[in-house]
Amino acid sequence: MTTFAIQTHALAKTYGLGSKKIHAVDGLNLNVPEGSIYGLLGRNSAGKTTTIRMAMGLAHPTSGEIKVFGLNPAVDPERVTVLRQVGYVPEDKMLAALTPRKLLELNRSFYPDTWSDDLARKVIKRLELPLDTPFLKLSLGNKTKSALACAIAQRSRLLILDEPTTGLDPIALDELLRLLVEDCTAEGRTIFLSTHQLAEIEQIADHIGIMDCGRILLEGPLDDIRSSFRRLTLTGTALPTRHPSILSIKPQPHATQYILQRSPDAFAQDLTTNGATIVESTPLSLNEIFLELCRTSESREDELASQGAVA
Amino acid sequence: MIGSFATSFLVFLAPIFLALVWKICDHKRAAAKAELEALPFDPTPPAAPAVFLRHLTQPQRVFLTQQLKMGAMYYAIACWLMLFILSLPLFHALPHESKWFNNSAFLWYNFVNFLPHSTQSLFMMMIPAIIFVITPLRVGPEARFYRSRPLTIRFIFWSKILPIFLGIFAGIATGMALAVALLLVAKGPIWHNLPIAIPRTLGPDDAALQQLYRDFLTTSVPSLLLSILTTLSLFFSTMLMVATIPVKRMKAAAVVPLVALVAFLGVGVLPFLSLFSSDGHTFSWFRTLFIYSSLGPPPPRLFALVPVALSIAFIAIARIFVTRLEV
Repeated sequence: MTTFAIQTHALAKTYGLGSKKIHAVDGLNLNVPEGSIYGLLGRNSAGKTTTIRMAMGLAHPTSGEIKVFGLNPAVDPERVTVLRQVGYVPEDKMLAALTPRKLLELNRSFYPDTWSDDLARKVIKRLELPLDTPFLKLSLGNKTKSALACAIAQRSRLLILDEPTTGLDPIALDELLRLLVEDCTAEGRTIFLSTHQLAEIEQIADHIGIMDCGRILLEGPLDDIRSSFRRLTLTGTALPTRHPSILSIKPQPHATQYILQRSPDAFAQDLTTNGATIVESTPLSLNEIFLELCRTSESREDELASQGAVA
Repeated sequence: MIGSFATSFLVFLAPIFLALVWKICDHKRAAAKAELEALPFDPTPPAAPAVFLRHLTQPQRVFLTQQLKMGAMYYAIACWLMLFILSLPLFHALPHESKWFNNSAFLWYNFVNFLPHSTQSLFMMMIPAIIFVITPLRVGPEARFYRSRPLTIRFIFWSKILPIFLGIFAGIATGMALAVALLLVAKGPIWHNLPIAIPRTLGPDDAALQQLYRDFLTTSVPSLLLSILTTLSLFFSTMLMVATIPVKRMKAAAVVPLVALVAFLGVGVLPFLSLFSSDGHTFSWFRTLFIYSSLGPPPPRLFALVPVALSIAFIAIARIFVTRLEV
């Protein structure tokens, strides 16, 4: 049976009041399996950081439920039990105004049971983190490295990383991805990270969640997601415009291009038996899946808004 | 007056400034040296906990030790501040053609008169104290850091408040005791030689001095000390409550500290400062509630329970607010 590191049910979080109300998270259902590397993807203001803040108990849900290892992260003493098992890198990478060495030493004292000095040294070396640079002189990249070193060396059961690649150069980014895979997923630990770096996340994540406007658009194992999407270019007459598998249709000069979600092979077979010819059938990259889902979601939102305006 | 203030400044405040400058320079020197040396990460194992900290978890010990250090710093500052303020009378020139009963009376009057005035200086000290208390609970990165470590909100709250609160009051008490000791060493037990009535030599032109005498003679020093305690407690707890009001977090997180600061200065500090009218006399109903900064007849001591009860209530409300804060 799958156990979940993070689970949300109809989770909602609103900011502001009246006409200025913002639905940062709007009925989110998220399932982060334990032991997975879960990438939460989304555009700006999709609700990723708010979701993470709720998972850390830094923000309280307006409605719905969020559980971390089955516990409520917003209420003590469950909150403390959760925090004992979680390493966290916040969005702005600002933890405390200390040199990296002092920050590591301070953080070390909060996790006496799990902290590893060896792992801390390994992260420091591989990310080339300067330990004694005063906080005010630290670049964004070095602040990120400092926060990452703290979180990784904690060896927590769950690592929550909010945009962990901010400010990192390509070499540091590559080292970070290696560290996450080699050292952080051992012993069934879970990594939950939000990012815009789709190409990088595709290298390491085994589960993906795509968020937009506070809702989850798609969630599941990355391999399943990849196999369920396909770009199909067809020629023929009376091609369908509506079908549960069709995500979007792009008419081309002499053909029609479908972006398919769910059972693309069955859809293709149906059409070929009805006389259509497949010109091209290609899988979609994660980046393309992300873009297609976000665009489709946006056009649906616009459609709903215009229907609402007419009504 | 200016000369005596300058002398007191040199004696009492200059060492603090020099120590501060030295500390900053030393810190910068050490930081530059560490940056050059680039030593490996080799932290020392944590020291054995003090006896009274043994029943706590290590994260709790770490956090509480930090706060105790902060409390000790506030103790030292409050002590030094009180000593500075209460030793000012020692540097006052004694009146030549004074109509005062005697020099001892004049000195003791000044000493006692500076006690309530110290409250205003302590107010100013309370503002950074509140900021220190509230920062890890609500403002920015520090709050996020401590609130994402395995510590209960209750523990963070009380560990922040109690060491600083007690440190300040213990510092005030020590500063007063040292000032009295200094007075004793410099001038002897002057309180044994005080007037018991308004001198008959004062004529109708001396109405102001007669009033001073009246205030002086009716002042109760224990009640005055109690008023310092109640006034500061109420100020501290009101500020704390205002600063912890769970203002709904905006999307722009930077708004929150700003709102908190404005509310905290506007709602909190100004009414308290307005308690002190230009002639140094407090509005009567505040005085009745043991919130005053001038000499005169004391209110019934039982009334001191009102600000004490209010302080406890405000701290309790702040405790509830803190759990609702978002950072």
